[in-house]
Amino acid sequence: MLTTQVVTGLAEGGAYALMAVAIVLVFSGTRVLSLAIGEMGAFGLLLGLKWDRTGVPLVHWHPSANLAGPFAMLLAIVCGAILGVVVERFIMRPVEDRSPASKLVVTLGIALFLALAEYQFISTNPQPMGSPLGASGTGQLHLFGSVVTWDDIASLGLAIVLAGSMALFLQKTRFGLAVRATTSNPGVSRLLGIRVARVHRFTWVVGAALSALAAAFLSSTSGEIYPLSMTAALLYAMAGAVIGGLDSLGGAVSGSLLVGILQGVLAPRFGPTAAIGATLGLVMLVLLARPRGMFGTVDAS
Amino acid sequence: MPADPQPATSAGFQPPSKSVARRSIAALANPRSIPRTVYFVGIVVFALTLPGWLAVYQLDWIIGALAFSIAALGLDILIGQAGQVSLAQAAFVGVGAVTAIDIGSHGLPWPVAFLAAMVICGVLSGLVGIPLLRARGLQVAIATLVFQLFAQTFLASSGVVSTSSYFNRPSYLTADSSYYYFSLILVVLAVIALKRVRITRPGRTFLAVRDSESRVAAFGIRAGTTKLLAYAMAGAAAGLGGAIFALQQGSLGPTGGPFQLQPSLLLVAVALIGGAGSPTGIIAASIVVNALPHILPTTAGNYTLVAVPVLMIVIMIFQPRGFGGFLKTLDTFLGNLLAGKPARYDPEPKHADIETTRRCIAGLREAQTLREHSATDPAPAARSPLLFVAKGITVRFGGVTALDSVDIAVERGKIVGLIGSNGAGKSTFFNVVSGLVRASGSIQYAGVDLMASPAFGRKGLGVARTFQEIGIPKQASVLENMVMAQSSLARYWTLEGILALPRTISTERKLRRQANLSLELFGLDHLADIPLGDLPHGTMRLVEVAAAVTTVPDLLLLDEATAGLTSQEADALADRLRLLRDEMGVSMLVIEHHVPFIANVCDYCYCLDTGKVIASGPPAEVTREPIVITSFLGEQEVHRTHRDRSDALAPDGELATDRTAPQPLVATSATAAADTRTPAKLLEVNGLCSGYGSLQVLFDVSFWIAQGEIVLLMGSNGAGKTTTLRTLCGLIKPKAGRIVFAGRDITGRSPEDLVTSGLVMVPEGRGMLPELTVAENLHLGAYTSRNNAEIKERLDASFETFPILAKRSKEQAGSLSGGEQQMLAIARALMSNPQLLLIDEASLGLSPLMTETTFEMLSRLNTVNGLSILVVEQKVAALDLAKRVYVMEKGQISTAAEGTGMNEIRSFLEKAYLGSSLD
Repeated sequence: MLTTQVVTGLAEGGAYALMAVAIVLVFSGTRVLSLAIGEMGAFGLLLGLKWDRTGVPLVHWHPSANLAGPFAMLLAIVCGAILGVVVERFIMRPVEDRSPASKLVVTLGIALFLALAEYQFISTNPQPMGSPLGASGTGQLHLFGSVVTWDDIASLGLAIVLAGSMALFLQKTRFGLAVRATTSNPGVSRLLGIRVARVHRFTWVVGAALSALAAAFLSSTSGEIYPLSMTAALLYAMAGAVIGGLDSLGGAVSGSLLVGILQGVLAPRFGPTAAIGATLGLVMLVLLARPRGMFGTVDAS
Repeated sequence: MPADPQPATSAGFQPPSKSVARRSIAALANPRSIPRTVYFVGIVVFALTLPGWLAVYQLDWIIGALAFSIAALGLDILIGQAGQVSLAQAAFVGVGAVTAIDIGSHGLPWPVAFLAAMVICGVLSGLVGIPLLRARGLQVAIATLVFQLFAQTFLASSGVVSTSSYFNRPSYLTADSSYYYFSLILVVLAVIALKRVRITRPGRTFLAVRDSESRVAAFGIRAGTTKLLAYAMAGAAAGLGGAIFALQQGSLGPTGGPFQLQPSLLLVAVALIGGAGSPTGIIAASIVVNALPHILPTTAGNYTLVAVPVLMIVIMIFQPRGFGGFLKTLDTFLGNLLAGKPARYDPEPKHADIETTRRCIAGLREAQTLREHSATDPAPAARSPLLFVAKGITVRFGGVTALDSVDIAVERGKIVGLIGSNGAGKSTFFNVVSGLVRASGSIQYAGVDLMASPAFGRKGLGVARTFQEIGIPKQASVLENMVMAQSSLARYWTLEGILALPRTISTERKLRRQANLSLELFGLDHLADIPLGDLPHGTMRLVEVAAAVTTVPDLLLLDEATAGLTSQEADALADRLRLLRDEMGVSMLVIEHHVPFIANVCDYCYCLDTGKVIASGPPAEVTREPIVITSFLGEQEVHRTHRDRSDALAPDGELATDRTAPQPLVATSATAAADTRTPAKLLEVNGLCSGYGSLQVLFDVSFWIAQGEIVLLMGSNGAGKTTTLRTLCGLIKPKAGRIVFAGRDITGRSPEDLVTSGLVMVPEGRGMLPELTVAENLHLGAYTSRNNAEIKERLDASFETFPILAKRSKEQAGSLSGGEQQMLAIARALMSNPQLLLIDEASLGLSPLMTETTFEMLSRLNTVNGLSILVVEQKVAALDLAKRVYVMEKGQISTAAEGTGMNEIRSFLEKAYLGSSLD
């Protein structure tokens, strides 16, 4: 019983972890805590599902393959990337010098605006979402006596692989070094010839694309997606990120998995209040004992 | 800079004089406004007649918006003042509503229910704040978001909110219009309370904690308690908002109610769209966000719904201070229309005459009687001559020993200098004394064991200090900072302050008087209302010294008070410190790199090196100790110091020969090398005008630099040197003028482009990327190059030139000492193979020895590599380095000199170190 719940929790945590990686990436690149990143990922997904429902040949060319999910996910990634470019250039760049709280409100404005656009132009009703892996995604297999889908495995695997390769990219490449320099001090980075705007654009684009990936798996697990549902899911990912350390990719993944397990184990037994209460307790405990998060880096004095 | 004329020297160099047209440079306007009563009457008439215009359902939405705005006003304390971004405010609104309904439904009168809601929410919010005390910045936002999620899940779960309980309005509030007036009165009371919080102790301490939590203990402020107070106030406001909502609705549905996630996020939006510190703006924002979409006709209402998120984005882009900022701009505009252009102020300190000085000191002396410490001070007869005795102070950070059994004593009424190379542990010692760093050892201070006293208690004992970087909040005005520094003297309860009880009024009046006296003493009184951050760096430091003096400490710790000051300004400061010592018996411990200042002011002096005291004694002796010379001073500084001092102190035959000592070798070689070249102009600046926003700092600046030259840019604080460099390297776009570099017009080009074309800047403060390693910093210097072989070559070359960097290449740049960081900054700039290097304040914060090393390095780069360099400097020694010098004054180049013409500047600057300029 417990194993099953842990495995279910891990599966859900995997999707949160993808979202958390998006949050951490944007945060360390731009020092913005983005409440918009969830909706930026969800927008294309909703668009894709609506497209599918209204019948587009491309999607229905082979009905048995059930390509709605993969198609929506791909469209979400593309849309996310485009939104990333637009948001960075026309909204975040002009507010670069504002306080963190102001920028938080700006991202909230973006999230609400996207949600309104979704209500207005796409749908007010929840859209059913199939597996992003197509027909094979819902295939089940038995692991430690519990049932998991290929979706679950894929989201967990993707989270770990993507976080790992992102960390490697930041440590080992020239552009990764530029990202870290920008994190440290954007003004000085400009004096060294780094195009800071390019770094910011990169983090927003990759962040939104990752969020689209997370949205696809999260909505496939719950079976549906609707405006602002990803913003609600974002909160769990944020809790995971703060537990793991807001500037640590590995921390974000492990923190999110922990949150997923807590939800998976506690919610069925003690109800949602206890599960979210335990997450709150864990967040507070980490902030008291290790304010930088379990894996957060210690910055130089 | 003192306004009275300095002794005029010969024609080559004009000291500051009235002949230079007094431009309104670096001068911000004191904003005008139209009379408050005009607004007041307008708002009152509008608010009172509102029920007449609106239908009942519309008025209901307005009441809701008013309740919401009280919660947002509370959030303004938490976010706008204390800097804690809480996203859980709606949770407390919900708790307040539930509490009020629960109590009200038992038949208790509404004031009891309202008060209970406020108290319970205040306490709860404070409790939630406890685990958040160590969290920083946006972690608070996330943690409170999780709390919000928990609270709303909890409140919505069955059994918590009883849907059958009713909170009935008393008969006189049944009508909607009367309930509207009732809510309006509560909003007005909340606004008044908020205003009282802002202008009494809590408001000032909130700002200080937000600015620098780790330092506020030095002002006698407890960071934790202060933050919890802000949480509690915000919670109480949310509780009141919730109670108003509860009494309006009578009951709460199981899932509805004001405690959901969306209202919580909207509350933050309202607080920020409204504008920090502007109640009018916040109330207006609340009505726009909460009421307008519902009370306008359907079509217009839908547009408003879309307008809310658009507003969040657009307002933050164009008006960072929200509606409040917009109203302020409008107010200033109208005020200017009515009253003409406002007066401008001069950002430089004035020169207080001797009578003013004595009057101020006499006035300040009264403050000594205010302090509780006088009780613990033993009777004069029993006094030990030593005020402060530190014994065996040892500090270890990880494996590094920062201080190694240091013994330092300060006699009563003496000024003791603390000198030593960068990283010697001087500032760490200060941090130990003010309790910011843990140490072993003992400190006896005026008969008290200082180590046993908590950090925030030491200010009350009479220990005040300044920090190496500005330690007081920059967004607060100069006067507010001066009053903030006296927080330990503001002994009244927060509630007393809000209610404006007599004790608060008299205490505040006293603190303000002290603040004004101290400002006048340092010639800063004309700047009282200016936000500290708008002042030039050196003036800010002076304000910090003045703030530390306000409480008339027994022991004053000054950390590099003269850094960034010109020699005249440093001299004026020295005068005031001596007066404080002689007239009021203030003892001081000063960290200083400026040796003439030490020689002039200090009675005794300690020299530290790598955490140990290596020499102590009168400054004249210490500066002659060989070990001090090798570790701190360097040979050149010894020449200079003793050459200066030979006039001031007893003339000494041996020193007389030093006077005629030949010029240092580096300078001649630099000059000679530059002379042999054909002076092709590498950089030519013509009619440059520049500034920040509407503030113009540079006026028609023109100068040039030849290929292979070192050129020096000097001038007082706020003269525009840094702005010149920032404009040259592309960080600021010029308003007018032309910059030609290597034959190409580079006006308005971005810094990224300029690095590629060979113009590189080392910014003030060295621009380290502290989290990255030394090697990574160096690699980034060559970011614009993609040729790996070339990068490797340059990296090897810089490791050869700077062996210390090779040794520490894997360490974080932030762990290097100041001198090593300066080396790294230069080495990093060279990695891009520049043609022209701009260096801002090359020696700021460096010991004389490190300064000498840096200057030698620059000279070598110039002679050996043919690198052209523009240096901004205050130190006389830099004159030996340069071929040419430009002096800036009030945003213009006032003097240009080269060759022998520079000698006059030199002799003028050297004289300035000697005498007192006070009378």
